[in-house]
Amino acid sequence: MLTKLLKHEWKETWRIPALCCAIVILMTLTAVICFTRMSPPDNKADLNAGAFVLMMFYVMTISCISFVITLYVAVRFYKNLYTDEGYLMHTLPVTPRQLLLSKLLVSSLWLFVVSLLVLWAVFMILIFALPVMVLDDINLSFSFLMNYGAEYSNALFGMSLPVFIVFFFFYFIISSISNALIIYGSISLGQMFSKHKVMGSVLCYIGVTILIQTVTSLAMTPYLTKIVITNHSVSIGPGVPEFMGSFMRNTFIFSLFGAIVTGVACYILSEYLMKKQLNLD
Amino acid sequence: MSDLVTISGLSKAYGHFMALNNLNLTIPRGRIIGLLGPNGSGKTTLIKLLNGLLTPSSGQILIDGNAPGVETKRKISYLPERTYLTSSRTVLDLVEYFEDFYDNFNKDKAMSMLESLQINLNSRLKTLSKGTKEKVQLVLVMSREADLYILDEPIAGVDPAARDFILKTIIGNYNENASILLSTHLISDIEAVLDDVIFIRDGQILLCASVESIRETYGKSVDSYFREVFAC
Repeated sequence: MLTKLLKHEWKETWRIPALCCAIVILMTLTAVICFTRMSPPDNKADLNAGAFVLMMFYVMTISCISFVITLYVAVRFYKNLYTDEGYLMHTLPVTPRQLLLSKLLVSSLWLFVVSLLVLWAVFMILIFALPVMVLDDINLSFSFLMNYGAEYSNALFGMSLPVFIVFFFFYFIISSISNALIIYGSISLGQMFSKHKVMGSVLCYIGVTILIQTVTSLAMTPYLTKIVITNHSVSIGPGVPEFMGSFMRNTFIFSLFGAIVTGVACYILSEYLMKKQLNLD
Repeated sequence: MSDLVTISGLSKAYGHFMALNNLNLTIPRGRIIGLLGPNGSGKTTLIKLLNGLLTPSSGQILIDGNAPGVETKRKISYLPERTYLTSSRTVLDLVEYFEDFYDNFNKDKAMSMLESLQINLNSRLKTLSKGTKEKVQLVLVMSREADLYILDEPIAGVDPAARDFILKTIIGNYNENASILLSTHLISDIEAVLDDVIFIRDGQILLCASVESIRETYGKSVDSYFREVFAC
């Protein structure tokens, strides 16, 4: 039944995320063409206003598209399970777990793809927009960034570049799943409100996000403070203090651990509420 | 033959309001049962509880020996009072959807009924009129070989010709081992097809009897008796 649910979930939801991804790709390519036709300013004190405005517009659009996908995941889950369509979904001969998993797998995939696309867009900005925005001697090519990353990866992130790339690949997967689950948990929790359930869901989402940030920060603070105060502020690269690698690595690990714990908690909450506390209006 | 549905001590509260209050009921096999009551009497709440769409505050529901869950959802074919199918899907998509999920769905029967109604299989649900949407939903629901059909207000909001079709479809498409629980306000329209009626008021069963016994005992039609019992 999970396969069938996945098939239909995919069939009903692929259009909007695919359109958003296509817009990101097209916009990036268009922006790249525009940037390559621009020239940097004549002296180092100047800024290429055209390139700057284009970059700002581009960054804002990418951020909006990223937000649209997240919103779409939330709306799809709410509409399909807690409004009129829920009358069909909750009367199918499937378990709440299968319902949740089918939605989770499809939405996580899209959130993951969008994360990768946003990362790619950031790379494009670095490579094509910055060189025409200001006059600088550095040639920000892909190979330059990779060489820079390989040289300073340990100093910046506390791990070698290949490990950093693999780590972030899995981090993106886990944070995509976790983000979807936070949305699902908040919406499911919002259904406990007797009135204004959508507002309740939004408030729950804000509350859960603040709680996660606070707990993660509190959990990290003693350890990270210790790293900073027990290390000398010796620069080992261009403006990189010695403790930076260890600091960043532990921040990443804490964030990953936080995403896993939050995801698991929100999954358990969503499944429990769907199984034991379902009350469709 | 054992009862198809056994409900004991069932209550459902919304805050301080008791929608159902310690309700006890059995539904046998092979009957067409009208669930009748004024607005807010608890009909839809009872139906939703049978379908597992609400969580009871207390009490127990057993459908063919099982509490509402995956197993009972295989056996119940439910028509809600609202349009619950994805409006962007075509009629054919919806037929395939039902075929995918319900192993007791008879695709040939559904296609034949849709054809006789001259409903274009490639039309999207959102492009159809309200009456046609209701017909599509009813065709899908009645094309399942279910043990229990639960129809919530199936004839509300459609014209008399559509009502006739709906009633014909209901009678012509269920087997004698199955039961139909049918909730409506339009008693006179459905009285002829009912075997039994359940009167419900303030979340409690007021009467559970056969149509024949009501006519014999009170010398009135169910519609007239209902008006007398629930007179404001």
